[in-house]
Amino acid sequence: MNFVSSELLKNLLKRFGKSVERIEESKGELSILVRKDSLKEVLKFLKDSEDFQMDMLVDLTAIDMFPKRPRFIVVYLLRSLKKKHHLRVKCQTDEVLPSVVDIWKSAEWLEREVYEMFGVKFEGRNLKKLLLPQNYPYFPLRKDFPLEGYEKPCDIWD
Amino acid sequence: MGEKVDLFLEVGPHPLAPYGTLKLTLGIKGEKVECVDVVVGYVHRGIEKLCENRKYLQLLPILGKIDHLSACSYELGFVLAVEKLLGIKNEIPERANYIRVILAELSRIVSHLTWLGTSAVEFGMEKVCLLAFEDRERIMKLFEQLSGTQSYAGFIKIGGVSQDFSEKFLQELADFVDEFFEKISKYEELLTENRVWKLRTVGVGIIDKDTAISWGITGPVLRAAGCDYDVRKYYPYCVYDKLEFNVPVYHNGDVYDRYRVRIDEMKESLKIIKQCIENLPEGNTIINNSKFVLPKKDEIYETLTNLIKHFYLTVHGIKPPPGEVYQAVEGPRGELGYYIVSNGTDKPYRVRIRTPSFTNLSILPEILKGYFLDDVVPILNSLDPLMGEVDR
Repeated sequence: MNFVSSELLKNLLKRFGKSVERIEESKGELSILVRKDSLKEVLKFLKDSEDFQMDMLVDLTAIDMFPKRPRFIVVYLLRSLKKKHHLRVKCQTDEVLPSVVDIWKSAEWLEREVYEMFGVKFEGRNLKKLLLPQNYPYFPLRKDFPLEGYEKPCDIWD
Repeated sequence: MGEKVDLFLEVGPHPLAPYGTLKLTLGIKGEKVECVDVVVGYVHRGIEKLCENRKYLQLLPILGKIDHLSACSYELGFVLAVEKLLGIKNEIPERANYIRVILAELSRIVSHLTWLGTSAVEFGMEKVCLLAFEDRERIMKLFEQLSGTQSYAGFIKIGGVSQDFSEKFLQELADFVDEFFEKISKYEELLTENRVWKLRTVGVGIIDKDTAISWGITGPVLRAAGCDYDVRKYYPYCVYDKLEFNVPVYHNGDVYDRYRVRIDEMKESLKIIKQCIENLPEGNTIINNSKFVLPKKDEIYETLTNLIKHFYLTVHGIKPPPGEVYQAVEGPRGELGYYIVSNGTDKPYRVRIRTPSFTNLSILPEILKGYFLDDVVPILNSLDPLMGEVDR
């Protein structure tokens, strides 16, 4: 998998120098850690700019860093089909992030899944649970949720 | 669901077709669908959570169960991701890579045949279904010969494949490939110019290219909409860069084109398997490194060193260095990606499985609007969702 070239990344840093907290590289895969307040601006730029053209949101997920604070890292994997490159954008949060469903439609279900599994909310959306019962009170992919679960599940199935 | 509708029709969650349990709430006005609500999650098994609590070596049998039609693709994706994390990607023996490709392509044919049979039977064409399932049975028998099970071969291991192909198996595989080329033209004869089939599928369930990309759709559905994205061509893994094959692309984006793409893909898969059999190199099938690979069973009983190696690896597991990787393979339904975060221990910190059915199905409420009630099942089936894959 190709990730964006270093020149492009420099351009991005020139424009959003203050918003990008950190650049990480692991096994040739680039990720940038973006501040929460400018996340949407950066993502919109990546979608619309001529150099990046990130037209596909491949995956949206979260990592629970319990007991660190801020607790969650939300990970956006972006791809450009025309330019054939990728970029991973990360953002740390405790609870709320802006929704990107108006930029990429595929966030519709992905955000719902992240919400029900981790409890990360996305602004501007009335999030319904997707895979779990609507009144299930826990967030199972959090690290403090035990593998066996907690309760007798009989009265929560809808 | 605020629009005025005549009635709400609840479909499911009992399976309509073999993809599994899915509930649709259709708001119907006259004969047309006005609004749709999709309820999934009936077979949610929490596989991502399980992955965080198991060692790397224990994960392969679980991951195959996500998808009962093409378990090999799931094993392959995970194994490639872990190998990338361990940094042994280039050490895998060439023969193992060819064997992996053969298995992945066979499971692609199994999946497409199941799709073909079940969507034909929805229009009352039982003959196509019988023929398709007969061929599928032959591939299942081949898998059974390899490993003793029909669906979950469990053949692909970290570092290579668990066994070598026998001469007898290769001969039978070559025979199957030759015969199946003719069988595919039989399906085309029965369906491609069939009046009923065309009336029900041409111009139904159209997804255009930009919409498809924005919804993150991959696989045959995207290629039917005119985009040539295929992981095997864009980011080759295993030995796909050495093999010659085409990526079938059609441009109308309707149910008929998705059928054409899948039929063509089966032909290309056969071509790939044929090339692999012809070019299969000699040599080992698994790397010789006791850090990642369990010694063979008969060796364990013979020498003490192997017994110790086996014990050590089983207890302590594989410990990849800290880091994160994303590895995608082309499954039968689209891009299948593994995002693994390691923190240096023997268990992955986070495993995210990006399944193609999940994103492909999410477009359903959007495209069903405005179509007749009769078209719901063909459109749904043309996306080829598999609920085990959607729910994980």
